[in-house]
Amino acid sequence: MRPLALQLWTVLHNDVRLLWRELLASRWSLLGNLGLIAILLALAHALAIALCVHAPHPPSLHVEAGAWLFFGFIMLGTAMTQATTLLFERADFHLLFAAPTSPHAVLLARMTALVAGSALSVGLLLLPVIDGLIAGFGLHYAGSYLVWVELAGLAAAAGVGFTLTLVRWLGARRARTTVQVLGALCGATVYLGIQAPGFLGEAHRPTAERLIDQIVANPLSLALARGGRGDWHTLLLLGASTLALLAATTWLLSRAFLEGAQETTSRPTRTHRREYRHHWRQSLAWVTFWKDLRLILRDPLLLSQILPSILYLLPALLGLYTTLGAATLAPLSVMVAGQLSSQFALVATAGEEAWDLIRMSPAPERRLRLAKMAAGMALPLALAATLCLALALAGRPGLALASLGIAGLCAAGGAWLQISHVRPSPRHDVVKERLKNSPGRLFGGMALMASGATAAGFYAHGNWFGGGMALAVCLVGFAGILALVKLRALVTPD
Amino acid sequence: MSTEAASMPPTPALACRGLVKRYGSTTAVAGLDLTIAPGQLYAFLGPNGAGKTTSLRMIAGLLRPDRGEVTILGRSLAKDPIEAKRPLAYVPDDPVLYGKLRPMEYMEFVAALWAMPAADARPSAESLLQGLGLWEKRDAYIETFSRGTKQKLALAGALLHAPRLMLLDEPLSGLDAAAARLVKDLLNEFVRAGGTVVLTTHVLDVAERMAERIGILRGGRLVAEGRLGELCEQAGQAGGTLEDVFLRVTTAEPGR
Repeated sequence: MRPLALQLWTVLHNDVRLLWRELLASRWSLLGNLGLIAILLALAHALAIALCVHAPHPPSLHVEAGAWLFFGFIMLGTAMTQATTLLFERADFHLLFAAPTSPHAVLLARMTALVAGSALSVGLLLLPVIDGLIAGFGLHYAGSYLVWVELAGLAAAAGVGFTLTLVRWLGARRARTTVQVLGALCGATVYLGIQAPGFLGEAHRPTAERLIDQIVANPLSLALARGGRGDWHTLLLLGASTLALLAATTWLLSRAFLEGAQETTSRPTRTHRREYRHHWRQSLAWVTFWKDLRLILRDPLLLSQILPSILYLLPALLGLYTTLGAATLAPLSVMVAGQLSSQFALVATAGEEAWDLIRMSPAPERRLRLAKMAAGMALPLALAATLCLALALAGRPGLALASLGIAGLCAAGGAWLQISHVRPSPRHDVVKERLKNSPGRLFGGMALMASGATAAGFYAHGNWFGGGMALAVCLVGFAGILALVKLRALVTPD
Repeated sequence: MSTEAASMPPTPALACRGLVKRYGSTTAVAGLDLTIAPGQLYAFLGPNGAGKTTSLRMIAGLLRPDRGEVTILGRSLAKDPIEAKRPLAYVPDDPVLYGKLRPMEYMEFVAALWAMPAADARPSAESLLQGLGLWEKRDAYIETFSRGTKQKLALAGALLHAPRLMLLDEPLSGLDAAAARLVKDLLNEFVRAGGTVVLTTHVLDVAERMAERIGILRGGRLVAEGRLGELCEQAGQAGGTLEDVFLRVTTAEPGR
């Protein structure tokens, strides 16, 4: 067998080449994205440098330790969500594992990609901060670049280690779903943690701040902060620890990686002992609605990719909770319906697996797409209705009814935007690629949802004028969407 | 009047006139002219990249031809797509089925696409699943099926609405000997009942035994077409096999 380094190079070289060609294939959107990133980076640099140059003294070690913990959590969340894709969803495992290639080399190559992915996930925020610190307080802060890479390595090793340990316990398919949810939770924890003192109220704020201080003052975050200030002993120690952790993860868990990849590349063998009684329907709209709803509900991996997106609404809602109390459920129901309907409708249309069957049939496509829209709205509206029911039981039935109506409006508007222009994509990539494929429609849906949630929030607060104004904006937005966005023909590869 | 009607040739099951499809500078199909009468099994042969699948996808309405016209049982696919597609069924070489549906749920969706009444569709679906040996798997998700089983389910779905023209891309690939025999019998029965089948295959033996007429594509052009005997004569291989004809036609220098 060839040396491990050579095998690692072969796998990595192939991965990088494929990535490069994929990027070149969409070079215009790549150039557009790079242009946008360059502008954002320039602005962030200008701000960070101005702040640091005029600051009287550098941040305290504790503040820097907290910042490194913040970035570490984001990188860990990214590593966990990317680990499921890189470890189990690549199409080349049949070739790699049939060849005399060591699973260690394949796992190391995938972890190298994860280190790069985790590091880049915070680049837009972290790079201006580091450069600002260097400009303001001296070159010794260049140590932060090394800490950045080392922390990305630690996050990647921890993410892969956690994922593969779960694979041992739960099997690859369940582990994949669990890690998706936990990865999103990990990212959301940071936002929630930072905002905790704000929404806990005056009475609990000192306790929360003391708790955060204790969490920040752990030896690892302090070591990261010292390394970031250029302490070479700490940097070397961190580097050695990162390499050791990466090596240990590779050697100890490569077998779990191999077994997990084997399990996910083979077809499921689940058997159904229970006899299934199928109620046959005739109407195209009903059959399509139930088909798409079943496909959503029976796909835990898809649900685990979409449902955690609600977590990112929590900080704002917890902030509202201090003012509105239980009535926060009103804007929450609108946000849940608007946010999720848009995503599920996208999955039901762009993620449709058998467009060929549909396109060669004599079925009217408009009716099919409307049924898909309804299927995309069903689960979010059920969740919104549950929240509104809780609100009604809490003594605000009128508000609950109004919120449900606004939720329905936002759900329909968001879903319509997604079914109007369909560009088929592999089902599990649809959610990840939605920003790239339909930024205008995504932001349109978000604006509609924001106006609807604002209206519900004002009504919950008892501000009828504000609520009426926001609802008018929401209604005009909805009417505008229906009037201006027409159903367009399916975008097919030919 | 009735004598006149009887003497008129029947409407072709499929007629293609000057079909052209280009991908950039590559011409996948270069002017395909074809007429297939009802009740025939027609086999498309050709080396890889000859344009067989592209031709079938244009006939099925999945690809828009750059030029030319397709007529299915007298109805133009471009002018009257809904009515032209009604008697049509197409099974690709690697059919994409819904992994998380059960076979009956898949059949229900196909029946709804072709607007079949439930009273007819349900018994037909059950009978097809039983006939193709899929009844025992009716409670399992399709994602647990082998490739061959998925191929059989796609065929069951294609037959559900009683089509009059079936387009099959490599219908026997992935099937074991028993399943292949079952499918061949089923297709022969379909043709005997007046249906028309257009299939592509790389297995020359299948074309030789089953097809009434054979077309050989090369570089997007129909370079030979007819019954087996006619093909042998065209290729100067009287008494030869289809393999001899195929190799001669597909490896000959252009222009010869």
